[in-house]
Amino acid sequence: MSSNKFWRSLIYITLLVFAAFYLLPIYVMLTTSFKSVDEIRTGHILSWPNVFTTDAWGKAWFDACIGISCEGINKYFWNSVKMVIPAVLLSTLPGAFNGYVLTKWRFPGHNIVFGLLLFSCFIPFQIVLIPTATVLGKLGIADSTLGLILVHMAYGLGFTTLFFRNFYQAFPDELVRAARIDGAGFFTIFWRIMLPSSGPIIAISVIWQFTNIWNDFLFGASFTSGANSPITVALNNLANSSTGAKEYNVDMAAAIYAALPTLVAYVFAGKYFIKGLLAGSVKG
Amino acid sequence: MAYLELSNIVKKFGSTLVLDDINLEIQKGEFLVLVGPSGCGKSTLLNVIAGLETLSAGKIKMNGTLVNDYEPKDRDIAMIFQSYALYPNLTVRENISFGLQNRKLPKSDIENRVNNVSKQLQIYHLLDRKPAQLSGGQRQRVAMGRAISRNPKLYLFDEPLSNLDAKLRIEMRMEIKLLHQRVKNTVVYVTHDQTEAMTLADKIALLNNGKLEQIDTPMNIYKKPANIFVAGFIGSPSMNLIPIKLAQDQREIYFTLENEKGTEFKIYVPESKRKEAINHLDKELILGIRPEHITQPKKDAANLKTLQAIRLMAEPTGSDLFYSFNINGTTTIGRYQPDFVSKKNELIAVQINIDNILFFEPNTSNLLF
Repeated sequence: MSSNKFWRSLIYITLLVFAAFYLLPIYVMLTTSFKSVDEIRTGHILSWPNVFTTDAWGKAWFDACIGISCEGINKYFWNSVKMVIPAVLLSTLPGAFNGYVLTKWRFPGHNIVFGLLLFSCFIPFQIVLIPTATVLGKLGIADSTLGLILVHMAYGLGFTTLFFRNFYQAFPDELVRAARIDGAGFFTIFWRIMLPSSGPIIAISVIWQFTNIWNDFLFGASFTSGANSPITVALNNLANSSTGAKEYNVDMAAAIYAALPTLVAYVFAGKYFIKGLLAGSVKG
Repeated sequence: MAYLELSNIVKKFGSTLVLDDINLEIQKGEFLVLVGPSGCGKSTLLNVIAGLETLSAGKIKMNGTLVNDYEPKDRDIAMIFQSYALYPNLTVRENISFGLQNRKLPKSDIENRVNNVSKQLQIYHLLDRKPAQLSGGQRQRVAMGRAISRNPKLYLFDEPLSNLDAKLRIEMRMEIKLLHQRVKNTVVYVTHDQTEAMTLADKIALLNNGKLEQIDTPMNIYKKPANIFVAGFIGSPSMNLIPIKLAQDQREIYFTLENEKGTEFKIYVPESKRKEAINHLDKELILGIRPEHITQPKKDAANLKTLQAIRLMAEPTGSDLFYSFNINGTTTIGRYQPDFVSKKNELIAVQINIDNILFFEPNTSNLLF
């Protein structure tokens, strides 16, 4: 065997070992969710389920107790869906609009405005908890999905503006000038020319916002409670409910339910995500 | 009355003066080429005419109406860009009809115009393609189609051929010229390529550092450049500019040309220029002479003066052979027949056509006579 082949094999073996190591938690989650409570208690954590059962999946969705209500996590899952869809749309679209104005209709002080928006990306969440709670209270939308939508929209705007601004920076000015001469107005140019050419960056912005908002725990835990909680908070409450024996299989199934949308989003749109990340760097 | 009238146009970006008191007029149906080195302000001037840039001072009149405060869309112009500026998400058909839709033309009218224009420019079979699926020349045609379909009062071209390869550029240049001759549209065309300017223009406006150096017909600019800058910019290879001094002997006014060996040749100023020359005796001047008037000896005539010079570099272009000499300490280019044979550093005969010499003032750089 030539030394070249030897090293190549070594590299692949190392990579495979690391890949397996990183995949271990999801393996444990999946196998555990299909085991019965008894089998979990007696068997090894890494062992393959002796008897496959989907009881835990049903229980997690329909009957698991979160706090005192035992209706499963489905209600909270839909809470999150109702929060994430408007919040993603309402932060991506204005972000695109900001990017458009900040690059193609520059006004005096546009850099300051952009700087301030960018600054909002770097403010730690903890600092704004109390003022945000006060504002939500005054607006009368504390402890509601609407309140969370507003918070995520405001917090997401900095990032989405940054994405779109950098994307539109490389978008040829000549196209905007051509459209102006063609009689297109401010909004027509945005809707008919800019936005339809923004596929990759829309994908990035949507995935980024979707993942962050769906996975958010802090805002959900701070500004909602009980029946209005998003799934992340409900999952925590489920795992921390201490009635009777610990049902790891139900916890795992619930955790997979909670992680599923972001996984699906990445699997389906990941291709565009990577394309979009490269789009800014390669002229074309 | 001029069709497009620019008076005292000034444009500043911050404290930088980009356009400095530009005045020009274009008649209906005229093809004006704005030419100049990069950064001279020609594209800015075009954007000012289009209304894409605001003016710092001055007036723009179209057809007698002051349009300073008109939006680009209200000026009834069409612009063709260097990058073609086709909307990437729209098909060729949509690209052409976009401006017509924005102007709320009836559907059937839009369809007619798109069909007519695309047949005229041979892009009919491409109507349902996206710009990314087209070649450079096809994109350029679509951009032209977009402009023509609008039937605007004024066409603005911003270096439209710079992105094409050499062969296609010449083809498209001819097409633009043919189109102009057929449609008789009024055009302002920006380029940095002096050949494009010479071949296309009815009138050339030469800009440098935000100032208009000269505006005239191509032949007049070529034959009587207003100053040394224009003389050097128009023509390829550019005009030879040789320092000389006018003197007078018992016969006539003359200047001397000295080759590398120190041999001096007396050249008498042609009769047509004597009246002016007498006012500049004993002054340092710049002699301007184009390479095609420095040739191998052909025949004897009163206007042809022959001297000897050491041949330095040779640049064969196929149709011509350009030799360089050192005359009065300045590199001077002459145009020889391609079959002329000589060796480097050989002393060869050089014939100058003195009917075509010009004199410039070295300080102001202006043309004297």
